[in-house]
Amino acid sequence: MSRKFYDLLALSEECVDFGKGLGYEKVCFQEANFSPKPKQGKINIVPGGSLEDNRAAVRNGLTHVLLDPSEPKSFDISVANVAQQNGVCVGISLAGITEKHGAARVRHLRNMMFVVTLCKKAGVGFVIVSGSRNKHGMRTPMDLASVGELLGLTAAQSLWAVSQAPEAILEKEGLI
Amino acid sequence: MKPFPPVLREKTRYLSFELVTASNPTKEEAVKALYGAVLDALGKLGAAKAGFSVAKYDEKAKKGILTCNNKEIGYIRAGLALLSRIGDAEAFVRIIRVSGSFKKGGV
Repeated sequence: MSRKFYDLLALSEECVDFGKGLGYEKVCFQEANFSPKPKQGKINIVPGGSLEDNRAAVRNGLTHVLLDPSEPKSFDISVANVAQQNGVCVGISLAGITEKHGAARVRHLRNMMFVVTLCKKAGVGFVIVSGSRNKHGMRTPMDLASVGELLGLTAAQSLWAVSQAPEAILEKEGLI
Repeated sequence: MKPFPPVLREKTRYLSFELVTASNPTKEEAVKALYGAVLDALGKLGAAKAGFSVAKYDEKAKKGILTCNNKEIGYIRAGLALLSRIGDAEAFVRIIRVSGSFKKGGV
């Protein structure tokens, strides 16, 4: 059985066709709602913010993915436990890493490693997205999965995060 | 010097890659960017442990072959995935194929 890969967040329409050429079954552009305010019928991807923002996002019942909660002291075990109970996945975006440089990138990677450790303990699911603004921000599915390994996921968990996990979210919303 | 016995020998993997970019980087620019990306991600010691090197690069086709240790392929892929620019132009590395032999790299 061949695995199918999905990218839940692209910020430009050119990424949709380009992503299919790279091996993705589906790249979400219009289907994704990338904002703190969730909407019915869309893939709600809430960007990580302060501790209160993240807590509200995992509690509201409409959020599918909490993306890059890497601000200092913005994600703790209680948020992770509520996310696990409500079926909210934690998202790792490639653009969140490549748009930072030097010390800022080091801090972001370090904070995301802490988040990954907490989520693994709480049993929270992961999703890896590109978050690309143009075709040069896209990567092949295997390369996207390898970014998860960098942050502490196993190879199997990383592959799950670019295939079965986004597939489950899309099936839940009836988008595939 | 006696070569390593097969049990201790590192298993090399050959990654055929393509640079997807609007510009036309020279071989030196491409190699510098690739090394820079891996050094950024893994550091000098990590890149040395991974046995990373650029074995071949075709400027016209913008394709080439990288080598690394079979145990560190994931980290090398991740380091290359974080490359977003070569010079002033946006770019990314697309790994086409991973092979155990240089000939089958296909470039």
